[in-house]
Amino acid sequence: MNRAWRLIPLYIGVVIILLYTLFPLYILFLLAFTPAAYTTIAIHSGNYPTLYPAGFTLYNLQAAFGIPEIMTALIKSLETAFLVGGLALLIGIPAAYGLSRLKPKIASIISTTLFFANMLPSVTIAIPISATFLRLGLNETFLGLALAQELIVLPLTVFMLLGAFQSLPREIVSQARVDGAGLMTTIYTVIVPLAKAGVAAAFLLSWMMSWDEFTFAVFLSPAQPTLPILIYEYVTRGYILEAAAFSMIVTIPVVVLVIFMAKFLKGEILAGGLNG
Amino acid sequence: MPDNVPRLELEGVSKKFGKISVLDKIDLKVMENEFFAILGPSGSGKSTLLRTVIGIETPDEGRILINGKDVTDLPANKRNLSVVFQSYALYPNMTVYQNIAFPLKMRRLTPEAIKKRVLPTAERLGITDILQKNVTKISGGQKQRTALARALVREPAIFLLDEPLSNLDARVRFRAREELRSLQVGLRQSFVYVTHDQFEVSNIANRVAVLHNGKFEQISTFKELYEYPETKWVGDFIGNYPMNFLPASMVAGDRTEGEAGFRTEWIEVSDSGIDCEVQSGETVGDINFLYCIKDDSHFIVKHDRYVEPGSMLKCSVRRCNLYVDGKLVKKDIIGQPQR
Amino acid sequence: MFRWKEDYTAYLLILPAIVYVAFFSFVPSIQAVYESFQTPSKQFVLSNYQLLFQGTDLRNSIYNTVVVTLLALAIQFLVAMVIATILMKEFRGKNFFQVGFMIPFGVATIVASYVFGNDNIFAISGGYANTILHYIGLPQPQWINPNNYIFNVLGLVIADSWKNTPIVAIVLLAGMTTIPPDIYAAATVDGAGAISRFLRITLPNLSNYIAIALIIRGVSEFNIFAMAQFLFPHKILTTLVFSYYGISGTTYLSYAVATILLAFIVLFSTLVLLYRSWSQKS
Repeated sequence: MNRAWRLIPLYIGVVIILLYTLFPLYILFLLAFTPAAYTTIAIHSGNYPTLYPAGFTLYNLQAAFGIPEIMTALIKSLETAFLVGGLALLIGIPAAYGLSRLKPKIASIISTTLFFANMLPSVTIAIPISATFLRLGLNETFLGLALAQELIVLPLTVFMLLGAFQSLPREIVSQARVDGAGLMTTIYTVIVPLAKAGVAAAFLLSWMMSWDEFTFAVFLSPAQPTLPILIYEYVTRGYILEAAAFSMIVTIPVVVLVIFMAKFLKGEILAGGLNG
Repeated sequence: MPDNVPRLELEGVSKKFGKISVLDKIDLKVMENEFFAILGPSGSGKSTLLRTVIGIETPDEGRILINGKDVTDLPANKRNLSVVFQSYALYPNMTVYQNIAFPLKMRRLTPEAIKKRVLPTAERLGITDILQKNVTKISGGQKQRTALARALVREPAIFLLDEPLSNLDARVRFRAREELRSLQVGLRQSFVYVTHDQFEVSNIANRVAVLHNGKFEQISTFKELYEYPETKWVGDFIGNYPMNFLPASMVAGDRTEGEAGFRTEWIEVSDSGIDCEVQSGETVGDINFLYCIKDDSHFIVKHDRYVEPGSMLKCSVRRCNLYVDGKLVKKDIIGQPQR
Repeated sequence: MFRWKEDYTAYLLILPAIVYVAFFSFVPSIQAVYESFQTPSKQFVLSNYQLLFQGTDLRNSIYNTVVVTLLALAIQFLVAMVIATILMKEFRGKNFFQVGFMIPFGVATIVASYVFGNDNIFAISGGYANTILHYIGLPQPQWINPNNYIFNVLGLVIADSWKNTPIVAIVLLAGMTTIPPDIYAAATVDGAGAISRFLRITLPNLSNYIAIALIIRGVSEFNIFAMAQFLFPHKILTTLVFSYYGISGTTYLSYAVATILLAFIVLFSTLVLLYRSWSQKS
């Protein structure tokens, strides 16, 4: 009895926070699957929209898929995100292992540099990159966009992988060396297989950050947009309901990923490896 | 018996972490066919020494030679060593077979050649029936054997063992120790056994090096360590009970002031001895350990009778060593230590 | 004689990452600074900055950026502290809560902007926020009406906090888990209540994590772009860059604003690093 009472403030907090975090997503569902009369039309005519699903329709989704651009945007988003994730591992795994082997002082200088780069504003960087890409013919390409987005992702990936590698038992890595494995062989036969959960999490995080990315995408690929940019364009053009459907498409995979990765998203990594 | 060919040599190896000197000009020679032990308490620098020999750490000064060849700057994978770590360090993503085969695979042997060497090794260690099991699903003893097999499967210049038995339970450990010794005798290879536990190597090592604060205090047989510790520190460290030390002087020839060091079992209780006060006593089975004091110096006497604390006991010492400034200067002195 | 050491290999492994970062962040940053002192005829001038400082746009943007940053940080830390405190406790349904509070982290900024934006939650009239206020019986402001500066800021800050509080919460949680539970037990035995335990144990022991999260989030708040574009009828530094960038003839102004933004960020980041080396020494 006494114990149960003491938990009440805690549960009040839990409920308020969950309402705050889940309400906007609920609204997104309402927008996507409720007839417009109960949502946007009500809002735009100054009425109160209903807070419950007053009807059900797939019309918005159909209308969205009726737009030819959506498939190209979806493909572009996917290509970019997978390339960003793959590059993050390709560059990040050797870098993280190299960092784990260096003297702490030198390693800390290098991770500070990475951290610093991660802090630079995308808006500032995007304009000169856009000018350079224009010359190289990389503007509007998924390759160019991925190369730019990699910048935001790479430092985080390195910190995440570094954390995963450092938590491996030191003796196993030494053992592999004694058994005759060179540096590179050790990475791919022992370290990566043992840290596979961390490696997968690093890939997914970079995939996700690319999938969501807006600033570089709007500067570097405005004419052949990714999904986030398409949403932006449709909203500014007034196609509110199609935007709701696009938003659903963007959100569902990422929410699934977050649920899946919740236990890998550690504070130390998101703090930019500063506590590592 | 060991042959007179050096397999592993360390010449003036030093290593500092920041300002702390972990290894201080270490010199060492391990001979062919020798079972060599490095013994030291935790923090003595023995794991740094091991990691330096392996090639995971590089020394700040000095040279490391394997089979007479300077390997100081070679990485671990080019040194041709085998190692068994305390944790066994088995690759958890591989089966027993794959673990044993790993060093051969790294040497680019064909699958057939690998099989030809893995199977007899597994047989020798009695783990043939678990070869296809994942290493996370086998017992502690089996893990230890797998780690040994992986070390044995190739012909390294030297075997390094880092507390390989400390994770086994006490009953198995005794047998495993004997097996290790007979394995070494059978292989006629050099083993370097690193441990903090003197009883693990007291019977099986040809020579024991005692490491303390990054320096070797003494390198000799275990019997020598026990009977003639070269420093007071070794006398203190070796044995079930620390060596007893009493201020004394040697009168034969020139008079030498110093300390007499003697083991508990070198003390006799006899009427011709000198008076000591018993401070406390402890009975284990039929032996009584009596903590005695004489002129502010403490020592332990083994006696067949329990003596009440506070009473006096007459003790004499059959033989002792003489230490000056903490170092051994004379062995086997017969006669009473005198003030 | 030269001998290849393994440390060199380690450097080689890191090199691609460093080159990458240098090429895609440091070089463009320097380019942006350089271009901000240029004119179409390629002369070195200060006129871009003179023009900016004469007008009110830049001043207002800086003011808005600072206001939004401070308010957003306050909300995020308050809520994150509550979340982290809850997560330190054991209760039924914790697993659900653990995932639930994280979800906004995965929702794209653009989606969040859209849902909170002018067409939905914070619509000028009759949005979802106002519907709720209506049912509760509270007055309903015109959220994104440019004349309601306070509500403009609030709308942006609430939306931004919705998306970013989870990150702050997990950083704080990481800090809280480093505090040994024994200290709390000892304090409770010594008669400290919940509030005094929070003030005397949690806060001081968390200071390092709070400071780091604060400054990192602070830098990110300076970089809010998509959300401000959607939800904020005034300009902040990033949206000012974009608006100059979009108009032909003002490209060099956009470089200048971008450089000012960069200067703020570098100042902030330097503060982080100084703080860090200071806290490691003490």
